[in-house]
Amino acid sequence: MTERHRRRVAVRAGKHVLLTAVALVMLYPLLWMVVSSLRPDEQIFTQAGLLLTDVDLSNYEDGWDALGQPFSRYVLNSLLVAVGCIVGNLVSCSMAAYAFARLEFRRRRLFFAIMLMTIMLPIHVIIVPQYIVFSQLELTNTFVPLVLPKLLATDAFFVFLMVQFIRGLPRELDEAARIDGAGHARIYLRIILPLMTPALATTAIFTFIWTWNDFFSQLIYLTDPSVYTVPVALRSFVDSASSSSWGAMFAMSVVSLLPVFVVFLFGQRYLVRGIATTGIK
Amino acid sequence: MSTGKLRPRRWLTHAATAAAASLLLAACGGGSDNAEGDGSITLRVGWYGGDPLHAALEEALDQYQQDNPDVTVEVSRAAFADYFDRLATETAGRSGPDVTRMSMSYFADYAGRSALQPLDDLVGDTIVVDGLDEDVQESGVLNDEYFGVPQSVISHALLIDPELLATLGAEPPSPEWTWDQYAEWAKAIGQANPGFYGSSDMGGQLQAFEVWVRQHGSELFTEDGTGLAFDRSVLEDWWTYWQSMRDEGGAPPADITADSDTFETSVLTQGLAPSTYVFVQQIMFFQALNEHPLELQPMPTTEGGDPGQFLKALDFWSISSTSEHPEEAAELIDYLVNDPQAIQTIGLNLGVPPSQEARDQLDTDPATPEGKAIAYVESLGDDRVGPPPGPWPRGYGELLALFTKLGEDIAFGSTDIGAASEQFFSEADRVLEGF
Repeated sequence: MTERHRRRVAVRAGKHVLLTAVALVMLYPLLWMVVSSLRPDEQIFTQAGLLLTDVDLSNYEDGWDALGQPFSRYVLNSLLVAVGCIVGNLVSCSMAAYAFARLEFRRRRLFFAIMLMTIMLPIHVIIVPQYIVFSQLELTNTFVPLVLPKLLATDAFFVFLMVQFIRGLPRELDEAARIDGAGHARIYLRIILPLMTPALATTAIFTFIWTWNDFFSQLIYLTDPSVYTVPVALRSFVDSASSSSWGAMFAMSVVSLLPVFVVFLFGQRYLVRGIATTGIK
Repeated sequence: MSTGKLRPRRWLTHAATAAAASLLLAACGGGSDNAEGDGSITLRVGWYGGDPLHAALEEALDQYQQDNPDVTVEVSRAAFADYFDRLATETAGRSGPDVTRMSMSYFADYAGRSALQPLDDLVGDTIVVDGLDEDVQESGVLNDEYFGVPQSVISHALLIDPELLATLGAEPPSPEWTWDQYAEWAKAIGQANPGFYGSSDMGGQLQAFEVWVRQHGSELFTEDGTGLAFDRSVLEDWWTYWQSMRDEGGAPPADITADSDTFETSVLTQGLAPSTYVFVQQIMFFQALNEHPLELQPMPTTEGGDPGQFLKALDFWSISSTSEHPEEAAELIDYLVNDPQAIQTIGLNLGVPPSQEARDQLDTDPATPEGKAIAYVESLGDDRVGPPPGPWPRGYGELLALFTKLGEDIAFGSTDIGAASEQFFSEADRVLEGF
C-alpha cells in the first residue's frame, strides 16, 4: 500500500517536473524579452541567459519617447481601433448569425457556404482592391478602413461561431415569443442576444487580441506617424537593413503585452465557455 | 415558420441601407482637407529605415515646410521590408508617395514597370547633381532613363575587430594582401585558437563574389542584364577557395554560418571571427552592437588582377509615376540632396553622402564609425575601384538568395562545387531571361 502510494507520488512529482520544464521552455522567449528590455543594446545579442547583472530602465524611458509621439499615443490608437472592431463585430456578426440561424430565405445554404469560404481568403488577396476603394474615398490614414469592414460582418469566423451557438438554443423560446407577438427584431434583441453572452464574450476577446496584434492592414492604411498603432510603432524600432533599437523595442513590447495579458486574464473564463458551448474545438 | 417569410427581405433592405449609409457617413467624415485652391500642395514623402533616420528626415522636412509654406509634407516611413509591402500596395492602388526612397533591390522592378517617373527633364535643371561623385551619378539610370537620384555612396569592405584580434594573438590583415595571403592569415588564427576563425565565410555572398569576379576581368551580369557574364571556372575557384578556408579553420563551419545572417547574429558581433565582409556604411550598425571599436579595410586583391571594388549608390530618391506634383517633388529632392542645412540634419543616416562637398561640410570626427566610413570611401583610389556596374537586374534578389543557398549546400556537403555552379548558371539563365 505505502509502496504503491510512494510510487504514485513519485510519478506525480515526475509529471510536475516535466511539465514545469516544458513550461519554462515555452516561456523562455518571453522571459528573455523581458530581461533584454532591461539590458543595454550591445549586451542583448551576446547574452542568452536570463540573469540580470544590473537593472537598466533607460530602454523604457528612451523607448517611450523615441518615435516622435509618446508611446501612450499608439496605445490609445490601438485601443480605439480595437474597441471599434469589437463593437462592429458584436453588432454585425450577431445580426448576420441570427439571419443564418433563424431566418428562412432562398439559397440560405449557398450564402452560408459562400460566407464560410471567405474565411479562407488570405488578407493579401483582398488588401489591394480594398486599398483602392479606401484610397479613392481618401480614407487612408484614418481608422475607418480598419473598423468599417467589421461593421459589415466581414469576419466570417465569428458569424460561424455565433450561428453554431444560436443553433444550440431551443427554438421553442423564439416560438413562444412569436406567439406573444414579437417580431424578428424583438426576438433577436430580447431573446437571442441575452442568451448568447458567452459567444459574444468570445468574439469580443478574440477580436481584441487579433486587432491588437494585427500588423499588415494597419501598416498599409496608417502611414502618418500620428495615427500609428502599437504594432506599426513597434516595428519602426527595428530595421533589418540598418541599425535597430532592440532594447527600446523589447521594452515597448513588454508595455504593449500588458493589455493583452490583462484581457486574457479576465476573459479566460468566458473564452473557454464560449468555445466549449459552440461545438468549435 | 411561415410567419417569417416576408420579413427577411425587409431585413435585407434595412441592412443594405444601413451599410450604404455608414459608408457615406464615413466618407464625409474622414476625408482629408484637400482644398488646394490657394496654390498650396501636399507632397507625400516615403522612406524605409531605422529610428534615427526617421527623426533626421522628419526634422529636415519640417525645415523645408517652414521655408516653403505652400508645401505640406506627409510622411510614410517604415522598416525596409514593411516599407516595400506597403509601397507595393500603394503603387497597385495608384497612390504611391510623390517622393519615395528606392532601393537598388527593387529599382529595376519599379523603374522597369513604369511605377517611377523618368527624371531626365528635371535632373540638371530642378535637381542639381553636378556635385555628386562621378561614379554614382549614373547609378540610378536604367535603359538610358534617369529614375533615381543617389542618396549615398557605398563600396565593399572588410570589417575588422582589432581587440578580438589582439586576444587571438594575431596582427590585423594588411590592406595590400591578396586573397591567398588573407586565407593564410585566417587559417593560422583558426588553427591557433580552437572555436575561433580568422574570417567569416563569404562563400555564399554574391556581393563579395562580385569583387572576385571583377578582379578576374569580368562582370557579374551582361550589360543588358539578361545573363551572367563570367566563366563557370571563376565561380568554382571562389567556392573552392572557401571550401579550403572552412576545411582548415580559416572560416566557420556551415552550421555557424547558416545561423549568422543578421547584424546581431554575425560571427563578428558574436566574437567568433575578427573579420567579416560588409558594405561600408554597415560599420555604424555593427558598431552599435559591439563594445570593441571596429575598423574598415579594403577587400583582398587578386595578384595581377583588375580593381574589384566599385563606388555606387544603392539607394535613391525617386518620384512615383502617379505623382500629381512632379515639379515640386523634384524641388524637394534637390533640397534633400543639396541644401547645406538638410545635409547637416540628415548626416550619415542615409549612408555616406555621395558628394565631396557634403562630406567636407559634415566634418565628422574620424574616430567615430561615421568618420571611419567617410575616410574609407575617400581612401579608395583607382587601384581599388573600377568603373561601377549597371543597376541590379530584375531577379537579382532571387539570385542573391540562390547563391546563399548553394554556398550553404556546399558547406554542408549536400552538393559539390561542380553541380552547384551548374545549377547557378542554369537558374540564372531562367531568372534573368524571364523578364
